[in-house]
Amino acid sequence: MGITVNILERLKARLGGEHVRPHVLGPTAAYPGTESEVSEAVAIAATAGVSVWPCGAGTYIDALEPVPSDALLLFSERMNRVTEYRPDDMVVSVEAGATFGALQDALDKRGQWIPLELPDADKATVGGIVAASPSDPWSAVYHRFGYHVLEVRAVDAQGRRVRAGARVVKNVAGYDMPRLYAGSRGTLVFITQVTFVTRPKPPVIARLSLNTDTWESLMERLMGLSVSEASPAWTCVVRDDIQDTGARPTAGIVLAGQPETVEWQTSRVMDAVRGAGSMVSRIPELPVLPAVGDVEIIIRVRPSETLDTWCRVVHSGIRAAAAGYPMEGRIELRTTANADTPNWIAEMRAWMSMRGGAVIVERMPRGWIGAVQPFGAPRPEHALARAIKKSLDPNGLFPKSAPGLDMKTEAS
Amino acid sequence: MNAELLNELTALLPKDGILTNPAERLVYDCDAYTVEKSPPDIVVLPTTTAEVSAIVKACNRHDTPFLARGAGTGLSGGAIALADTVVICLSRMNRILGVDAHNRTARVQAGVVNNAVSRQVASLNLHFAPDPGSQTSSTIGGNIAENAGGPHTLKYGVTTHNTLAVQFVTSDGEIVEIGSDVEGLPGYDLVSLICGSEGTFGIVTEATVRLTPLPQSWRTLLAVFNTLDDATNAVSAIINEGVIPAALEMIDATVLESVEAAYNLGFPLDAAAVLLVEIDGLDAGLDAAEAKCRAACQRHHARSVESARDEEERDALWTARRKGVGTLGRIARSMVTQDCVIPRSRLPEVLREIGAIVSRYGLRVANIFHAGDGNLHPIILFDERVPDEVERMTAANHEIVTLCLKMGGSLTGEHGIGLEKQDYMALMFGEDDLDMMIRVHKALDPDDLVNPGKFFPGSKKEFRETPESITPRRTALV
Repeated sequence: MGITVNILERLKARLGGEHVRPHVLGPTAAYPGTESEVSEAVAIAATAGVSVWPCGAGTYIDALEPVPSDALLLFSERMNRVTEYRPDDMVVSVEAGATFGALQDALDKRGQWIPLELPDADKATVGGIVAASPSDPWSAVYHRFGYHVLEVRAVDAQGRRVRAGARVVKNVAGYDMPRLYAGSRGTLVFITQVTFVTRPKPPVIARLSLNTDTWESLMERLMGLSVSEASPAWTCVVRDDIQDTGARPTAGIVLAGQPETVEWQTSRVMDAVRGAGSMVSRIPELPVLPAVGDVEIIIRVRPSETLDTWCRVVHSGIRAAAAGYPMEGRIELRTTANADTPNWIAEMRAWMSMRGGAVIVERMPRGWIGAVQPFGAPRPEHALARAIKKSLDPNGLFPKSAPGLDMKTEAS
Repeated sequence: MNAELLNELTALLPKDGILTNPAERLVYDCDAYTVEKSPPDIVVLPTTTAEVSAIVKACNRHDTPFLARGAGTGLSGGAIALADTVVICLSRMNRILGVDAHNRTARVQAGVVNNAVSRQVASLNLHFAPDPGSQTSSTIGGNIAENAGGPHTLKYGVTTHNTLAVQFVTSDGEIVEIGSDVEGLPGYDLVSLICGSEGTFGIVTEATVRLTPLPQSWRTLLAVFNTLDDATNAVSAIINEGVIPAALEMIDATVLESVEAAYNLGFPLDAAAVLLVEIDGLDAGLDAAEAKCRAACQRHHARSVESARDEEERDALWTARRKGVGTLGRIARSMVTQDCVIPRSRLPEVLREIGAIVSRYGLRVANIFHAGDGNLHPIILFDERVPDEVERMTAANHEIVTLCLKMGGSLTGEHGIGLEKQDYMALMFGEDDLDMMIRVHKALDPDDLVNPGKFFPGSKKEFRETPESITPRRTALV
């Protein structure tokens, strides 16, 4: 039934009344404007035993775990400045509430970027993205997204302001806490500021479209291309059963680099995939996975198993929009929940268990919470994750929505 | 020596898997950080993960600390045993267990030597990218513990970027697989946490590493400069051209002098510094990238920029880089190599200031380092026989470290903290920042049995007094 009046008043006194929005039936939302205010708000909550939910844009806030009505939602949106940008050093520091799109715009002016393919970059916040550490097709060229993070400033579960890493591109001083925080889904700290290494933006990014008669032949060609000397940056297929466009199986191929390189690669791609029934053409933008349904699923496999897995998904009868990334070994699905979907997930997990892959549910309807495990079977390493969570957040101030943290939704 | 523990270990291992006599143990009294030495009580040489697990469990039963050791090439004393510590040497776990060419991964035991992996997969047109100076002897387990780098990590990443999973013996002896060759699984990134933890959480016995395709083509350039300022300014200029070289290294006049004395490779002896620039990738774009690098060097007054015409010329350039430190023995009796990182754009002023610091102490400095990363390795040359020269070297070293931190840099880019730099940690991190690391350590090693006395400020305990406990000579592979 919301947090107590006393706590509310203390928060308002610290953050200003206009930046604290109580809700009679649900969690209170607070909008600190500085790291110092985050620290004070967390300390107030910690003292009172109120759980704190770090929020960026808030789009995934209750995707896996219901927010308790007496929780404090702490939004970073007022902390949105690029605090330091040194293009010569390829280092940028930005507050957690800045949108990723705004950050990329700032970098673009100097011909730099942080490689990340993000459809909703104008909404997604830097803090939220780092906390989620999403998969990204550019990772084949630039490594995983978490590796772009050099330094994290954060507030811990005691309300202390802490810093990890350094604002230089190479550093082994101290444990790699930035990468522990990246991908920890807000379960360990509230991220207030992040320093990234930037990259020179490739002078040319070419996008090609490849059509074939069947999904199987399309995926097969892409997988061959992935290990060929044409060395595309990334490839993808997108299929939309929900909107049933009836379109011919189509893939996107992305080439990036100096103009001469991309020109050479394009000719190699044309040679490699040319054949019966296939067509290649340049396109301005790649097809994107439509934002449909209330269930988001990510399947991870070894790259070599993407074809089999894609075929399994396509022929499984699920009605979904799907995107496959063969170079990463990733398939994303968006679908609308129905009575069969949990069974489909269970069957897919059983099939996947022999292949070492995983079926991860990133968003699900409220009715599933407690019944469907978002992260699949526990892994032995989760015991170590639990020990770290307990040590950094002994009173469970922050959420538990990460694998191994004894969520109600996860099998123990 | 704990007799009961010794009995247990003797029962666990074959006779040649346990070393107890002083002469044998002396080999393990330090790693490549030779300033401090301490022969361990017991050295064990397991050949399987199960043996490592059993050894760790035995140590737990007797409340005895232990540490893992690879080839002993670490440069910060991370593999030096404190009193009553069991050294678990993994050099006999040296098998490459499998290669998955399609998914570009290899499964290796921790004692496999770094460049053995690349040699094994070269026929598949692949390699293991991290290439520390010690790559002909350092092991994958050691590389993971230190998060080793090397010249080509500017483009291809350090060890953490190239490690997907590890088999890990926890502080209480359990065997856990962490990470996966299936990438992108959700959860805390424990593999990255273990990489660079300097063996303070547990023991890595196997690893799945990423393999990188060998580049289709390469260009290796040598740019010669009359001043250090021009050379260091050219470093940022090259990166600003939008080119990320595979390697961008700087060698100064002092090193060139000793390299020429040793190898007579034809480097100019009147230059202040040279840049070794290697770009690689698809052949189609390399001419354009090379032109950009040349233009950037010429804008900063390079007096010449030459390209290696064949493998032989390329090897000669890399010989200077890879063996340069070793040749310094010709011009100095002793040397100490520092490892700090600064923002790349501060290179000119920091190198000037380092020169001034070392001169102020009446010593010489040589520079050979990973310029593209801003990862400095100033090498102070000295003679320990000269009264107070060790003290002056130590004081100069201290000033260099604090200068780099003042410039917004880091204590270490690849050599680690170990024994050497633990007291500097408090200069780089606040009390609360360190407390977060201590909490993580306590979560994974609650009894402080894994490689104690390292990493954290003030954690070093008393070393056993030995005649050679203070030896001021140190060589380094950088």
